[in-house]
Order: sequence, then structure tokens, then C-alpha cells
Amino acid sequence: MAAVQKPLNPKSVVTGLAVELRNVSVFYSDYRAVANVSLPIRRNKITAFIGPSGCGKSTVLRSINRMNDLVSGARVEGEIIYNGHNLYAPHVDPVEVRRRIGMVFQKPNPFPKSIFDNVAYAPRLLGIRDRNTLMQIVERSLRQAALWDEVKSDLNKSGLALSGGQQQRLCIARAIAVEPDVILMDEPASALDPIATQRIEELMRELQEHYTIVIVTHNMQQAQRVSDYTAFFNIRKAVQNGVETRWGELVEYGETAQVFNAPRQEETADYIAGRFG
Amino acid sequence: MSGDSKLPGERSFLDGLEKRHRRGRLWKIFFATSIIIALLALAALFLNVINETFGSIAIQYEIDPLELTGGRPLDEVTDEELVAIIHQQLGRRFLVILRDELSVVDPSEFTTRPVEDVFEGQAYPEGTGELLINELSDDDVQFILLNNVSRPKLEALLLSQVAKEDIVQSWPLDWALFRFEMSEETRQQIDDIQAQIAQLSSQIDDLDRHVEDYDQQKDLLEAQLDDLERALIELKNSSVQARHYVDFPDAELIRYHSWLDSVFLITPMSSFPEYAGIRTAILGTVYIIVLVLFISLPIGVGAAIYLEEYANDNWFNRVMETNIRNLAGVPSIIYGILGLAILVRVFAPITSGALFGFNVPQQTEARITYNIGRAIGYDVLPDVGYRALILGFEREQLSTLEVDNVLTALSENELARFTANMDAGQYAAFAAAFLNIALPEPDENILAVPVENQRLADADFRRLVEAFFSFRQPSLIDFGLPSQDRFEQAVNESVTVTQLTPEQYNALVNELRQYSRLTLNGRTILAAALTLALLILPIIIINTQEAIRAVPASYREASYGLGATQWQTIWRTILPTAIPGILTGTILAISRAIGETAPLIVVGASTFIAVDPDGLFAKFTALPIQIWQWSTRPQAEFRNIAAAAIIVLLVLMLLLNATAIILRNRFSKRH
Repeated sequence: MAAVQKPLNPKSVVTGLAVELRNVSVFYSDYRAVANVSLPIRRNKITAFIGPSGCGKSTVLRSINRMNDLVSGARVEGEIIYNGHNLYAPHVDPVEVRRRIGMVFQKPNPFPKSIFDNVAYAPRLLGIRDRNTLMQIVERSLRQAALWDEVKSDLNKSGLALSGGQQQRLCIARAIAVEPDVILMDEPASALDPIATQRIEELMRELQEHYTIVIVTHNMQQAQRVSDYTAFFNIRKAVQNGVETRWGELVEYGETAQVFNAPRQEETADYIAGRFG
Repeated sequence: MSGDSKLPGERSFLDGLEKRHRRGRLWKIFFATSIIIALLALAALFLNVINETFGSIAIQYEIDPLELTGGRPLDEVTDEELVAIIHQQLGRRFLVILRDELSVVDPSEFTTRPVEDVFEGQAYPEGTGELLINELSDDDVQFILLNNVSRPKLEALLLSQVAKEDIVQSWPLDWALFRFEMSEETRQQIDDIQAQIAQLSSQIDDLDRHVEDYDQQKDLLEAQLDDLERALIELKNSSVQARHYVDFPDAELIRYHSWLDSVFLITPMSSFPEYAGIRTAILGTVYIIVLVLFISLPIGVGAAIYLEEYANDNWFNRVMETNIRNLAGVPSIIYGILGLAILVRVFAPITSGALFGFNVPQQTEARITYNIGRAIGYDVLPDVGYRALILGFEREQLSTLEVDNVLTALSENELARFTANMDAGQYAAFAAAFLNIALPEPDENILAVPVENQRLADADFRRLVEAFFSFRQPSLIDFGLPSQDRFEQAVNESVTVTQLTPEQYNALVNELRQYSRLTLNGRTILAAALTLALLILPIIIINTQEAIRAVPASYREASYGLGATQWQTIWRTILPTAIPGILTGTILAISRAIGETAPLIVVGASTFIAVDPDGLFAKFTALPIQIWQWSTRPQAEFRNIAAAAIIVLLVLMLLLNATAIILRNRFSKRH
């Protein structure tokens, strides 16, 4: 912990980049799931990862806050630079990384606890016990997540009693309670109806002011609507000794308007036009 | 079904379809039969237990209660008169009732402490607080009983202590319901048959005088007699009343009697089924279960957390997990053997409490001495004086009940055997020394007889005791008794021991004392609880693992994603979510432990405990032990109370299982 105190202060470095991936490959045991991804994540921008199923976009997302560490046998090669320091350097504690780089999952997954306890979960992990402080944090987070007005009268209600869209916004409130730098969102709206999806998208635009957001999505309209930058991943295949292996690679990265309107790669154009995937 | 099918299809397909449906129907019938058989078996079990628990009894009094009350029904006798009658009939033994029922001091201090101590918190005549119990007038002692004991209890005392009620026969509920009444015809037939039996018997007697002449006739009559007797047996076994009419015409017949009542729950053991209760067994069970819970829950949950959350997937942990799963299936008696070998013997200083100053060595020495006597068929106990000296007691201590623990090791049968051959003086001395044990038939004023110098023991016995002491191999008394041949060998080798000088003899006794410290009896509540805790540990571990595995992976991810450490994730998310599963698993495991009998028998549960267990290091009995023990007795009444105890055990288990269900529902609703 002590070793990372200094380098992880975001205010001290002004590069315009929140995170930078350099030649990142992700392995599960001997299997290489993603190969040689290099791309910048710009500060206070929304970056979207798109691509067909199995292209490794979620794997790359999860490696940014070291969630892949939880999968036994998972291994990352290359560097993920956060404020000038490699997140995979030996002295870096993944717990510290995840506190700086929060995550929202595909399926809303609030804890079976009250709304208050859900949002206060991360602050309590840091040792904050004072009820008033916690209350302030909960209110601010719920307001930022645009959920406050709907739940303020009943913070003791179980988080599981909310609707799907509300649950997902609760999960966002929970993720921003400790004010991370970056929020990773793994298809945050794929389990929601169109109205709830729209609210989440609006919310992302509002959060952009304070946070850097990376979103994985299957929905290309969504990527087009909300993101500033888009990274397109695709599947590569090779036959080695008669066995077919597949892995994901980054095909194209650029401003969203450019990727969708004037893709540099033919693959990207095919994918966006719906010709595969 | 397929025959009416309008759908076009190939013939072979339709045939096959019919076959497939038929097979399904057969299996369905098989499954339905299984559940019906299971339900029938369960119903039969319940009916059987209930049948034994309720039913008819025939009560006979040694002294007719009406005779005691001067012909008035018990209801019309006032409390005062009741107490006076009891006092008059019991004489000095009245004090024993006061001591057993009301005294709050140690029985040994009953006669040496002032009334205000002995009956602290209870009513006693004004101005008598400073006096000793022996200095009270008859009216005073009556006052104490009268003012502290309820009416039903007084009546019970009269019936049990004075009238000496005895249940001469009991019948199960089906008899009470369906085979209770005796028809007039049966009665007539019985009378007839009995008259004929009497007549024939007298005729046979007559004929006996002329045996030579009437042999043939006698044979004939005897054959008739046999037939009649057979008929009588058949008739008297046809209904409750008939049996009562034939065998116990003087006994009072109660059609519906419940063996299970509140008194049964709060009364300690007794060798008489009508007075026996399960208080000590319930307390033993409660002690053990609470201890088991405290031992196995933290260890089991801890182990499960380690295996699920921390352990790597390597061969060592896989072997360990497989072994835990296998351990859950190991027969319980094997845990009993393990408990005996390790907890009772190897860890005896801990499980007996000797390390912490409990269970003083005298008790063990007394037990060894007693065991020697038993092994050679020598009645040790009548010779209280000698035995006490062997144990190193001062003669004065005899009356202060220092050695009463020894007697709790005796079963009531052994007690009866010892007392059967005593003369009145021996009996009195014996009783005086061990007053707090209920003795079957003391007919003297036992408190009045002082402990006199008893005859010294036979030289034979002395020699054998000393031979035993000289033969010091731990294996000998591992089970409390030496094996027959090794013991005899030891005796033969030490014939000269009788020539020992007093100094040598004392040295020998001191040796024994050192020795017995090492062989204290570890058959305590603690040992039993540890054994049962080991037994259910694998079950708790497996259940907890399942509960932890059932926690959705998304909770785990969410927690880690928020920057929780592994421990924080376990403590704040995984355990709270898994707790209903852990609790229900634990409660089910505990209810298994409650019913376990075999390991407790092996570990050394006592079958007759009349004193409440007073801590971790007390000897113990438990409900299943008591049921097992009672059900092996020949008398039918013991089977009745065994059935009543089974109901208590079943209710206890149902309560536990209900708790498990309630807990599960409550926790799952909260989410």
C-alpha cells in the first residue's frame, strides 16, 4: 500500500489520459484470449468498446481494474499505465486499484442489503463509520446517480426491491460513493428495458463531468449516442497443428463519429453495417 | 393415448411412444408406492409410541389410603391432617422428606445447620430459625412441610411414601380403548373356571393320598386342569378388566393413564418406573448440545471458509475435502471409539477436569476399590468403615457424606444386591453414610443409628486390594476393571502382601493416590460434547461450504469491484448471505447429535444419574441413553416411560427443525 500512495494521486499528473493500455495481452492459463491491445482512455471522456461476442472486449475492460485476478490462471502481459504507473507492477495492490477504478456490471447486482448499506458499502470498507459522514456520502452518490428523489423516503428498503433500472443506478451510486477516477461499465444497460436504458445513458453523460467512463456495449446505437471514443475489437482465428485457436484483437480506435461514419478498416465498416457479429 | 392419435406417424414410432409412456407410468407407480410405504412406516412408528405412552394401569397400595385417612376420601382430608398422617406413619423418616424436598443446603449439612439456613427462603415456624432440625418439635416440622409443599405434592407423598403405591400392571392405549371391558359372560366364565380349578385342585389333593389307586384318574383331571388354566389365561388376557379381575382384584384400575406429564419432565431418575423422570437426562442433553454448538460451529464454519475462499485447488486440499466428505459418512460408533481412546483416556486430565482441580482423586480411588470388590464378588460396601480407611478418610468423615460420589457409580441393581445381605445395623450405617441416595426399603429410623465401629474387612479382601495396587499397569484400569486373568496373576504374585507392616501399607495407599491422579475418569459431559462435536463437524463443514457456494458470484464480484479485500468480502457479503444456509445446516446437524446414542454409550454415559449435572466435568446421561436403558428393562412399565421419553425427544427435534425452517424463511424473506 505504502508504495502506491504517491504515484496514484491523479491531480499530480496532467496528461489528458486517465489510463493507457500498452501491448496488453490477457491469458487464461496457456490460452491467449486477447492479444496486443494498445489504446488510450481519455480523461472525462466516454470510451466505448464494441465488437462481436468473444472478441475480448469485456476481458480487456476487466483487466483495467484487475478484476481478472479473481479468475484462477488469468495473467496479463504488457502494461496498463495509470497516472504514469503500471497497474500490474509487482508492488501494486489490486484492492487499491479497484478503489480508484470502479466497476458496474452487466446484470444489476445490488447486495441483499438496504439501499443505504449498499451505497455505504465501499466507504465502510475504508473505515468510515460516522453515520453523518456516511449519510452525506450516500446522499451525494444517490443524487449523482439520479436516484435520490426516487428512494430518499425509504433508504432502509432492500436494494433488491427496486426495479431493474433503479437497481443499476443504485450500483452506479455504489461505485461512485468513494469517488473513483474511472468507472468501468460492462454492458450496463443490456438487461434493462429501453426507458431504463435511456436514463442510464443520460446519467453517463452527467457523470462524465466528474469521471472517466469506459463502457462495453453490444448496442452500436448506444455506443454512437453516448461515447466520445470508440474501440472496435474483433476475433482472429488461426489453425495450428490442426487445432483452431481464436483470440481477440483491437481493430480500430478513434473518435466515435469517425469510427462510425468513416471507418478506416473494412472490417469495422462491415461490423457497423451489420454484415457479421 | 397413441392409439387414438390422429396425427400421421410411422407405426414404429407410435409403438415406441406407447412403450415410453408405459415405462413412465410404471416409474410413477413405483415412486408413489415408495412415499406410501414411507408414510405408513412413519405412522406405525408414531402409533406405537403413542400407544405405549398412554394407557391403563392397575395401582395397588401396600396400605389402603382409606385406612390411613380413617375411611374418608383423600379430597376431604385437610392439609394439616394429611401432614399429620404422613408424620405419624413415617416417624423420623419424615425428616428425610423435608431434606429431599425442601432443604437448600448440601445434604450432609442438613442436621448441622440452623433451620434458617436449611430452609432459606421458605416458611418455617417463627422463632425456630436458630435451632437445628433435630431440635424442632413435631408440630414445627409438620408446619414446615405444610407451608412449603403444595396439596398435590402432599397427596403424592402420602401415596408414594406411606401408602406405597405400586403399579402392578400396565396396558398400552389400544387395550384401554378396545380391550378394556370385561363382559359379564367372561366374568362368569372366569368365576366358573376358578371355582372349577379350586374344586379340581382339592380333588387332586384328595387323590394324592391315594396315588396308587387313582393315578389314571389324576392324569385325566390334570389334563382337564391344564385345559382350564389355559382357558383362564386366554380369558384373562382378553381384556384389561379380566386381567385385573383375575390377577389383581384389589388393585385400583385406571383406564386412561398418561406416563408423560409435567412431573415426569422435572423428576430425576428412579429405579421405580412410577417415580422415574427425565430431568437429569434433559439437562445432560441440553448441556451437551450447547457445548457441541459452541465447539463445532466456529470450527466448522472456519474450516468451510478456508476451504471455499482461501484454499488453492491443489492435490492436498482436494484430498482433505474428499476426506471430510467421507468423514460425514463414518458410522457414529466409530466416533465413540475415537472419543473413548483419545478424549476419555489420553486427555483424561483435561476431560476429567483434574487439571483444573475438579473431580478429586478420592472418587477414583473409591471406584477402583469398588471395582476390585465387584470383580471378585466381594460385597465391599457394607464394610463402610474399612473402605473409608482404605480411601484415607478419617472415621469422623463417614457421616459427613464425603464419599457419596462413589455410590452414583452404582446401578440400583447393585445397590439392591449390597443391601440385601445386610443386617439392620449394617444397613443403618450404610444408609447414614450415604443418605442422599434413595434406598429401597429402610424400615428403621435410620437417622437415629450412629455410625459404629464396623468389623474390619476380611484379610482376603484386603490382600486383593493391595495386590491390585501393586499391579500398576495403566491398561489394567483403562476400563475401570482389570481383565480376569491378569488380575488373578497379580493376586498370586502378591500373596505376601498381607505381611506388610502398617508403614508399608500406608506407602502402598499413597502410591495408589499418585497413580489414580493419572487415571481419573474422563467420562464427563466435556468428553461427550467433544465426541459429538467431532461427529457433526464434517456435516457442518459440508453444509457451510454448500451455503457459501450458493452465494451468487455477482455479490463477490461487486464486493471486489468496490475495492474490498478478501476478508472484507467474506465478512461483509459472503457470510451474511450464507448465514441462513449455515444456520439450517447447523441445526440439522445438531438435531442429529441430540439423537446419537452409540457414541455416548461408548464414551461412557452413565445410565443412572439422580443428581443434576453441575458443569463440564460432571458425569452425565442423555435422553437417548435413558430411552435405550429403559427399553432394555424387562418390566413393561419401563417401556412405557421409555416411550414417553421418546415423545419428549421427538418434540425436541421437531422444535429444532421448526427453528431451522423459521430461520431460513425469515432470512430469505429479508432479501
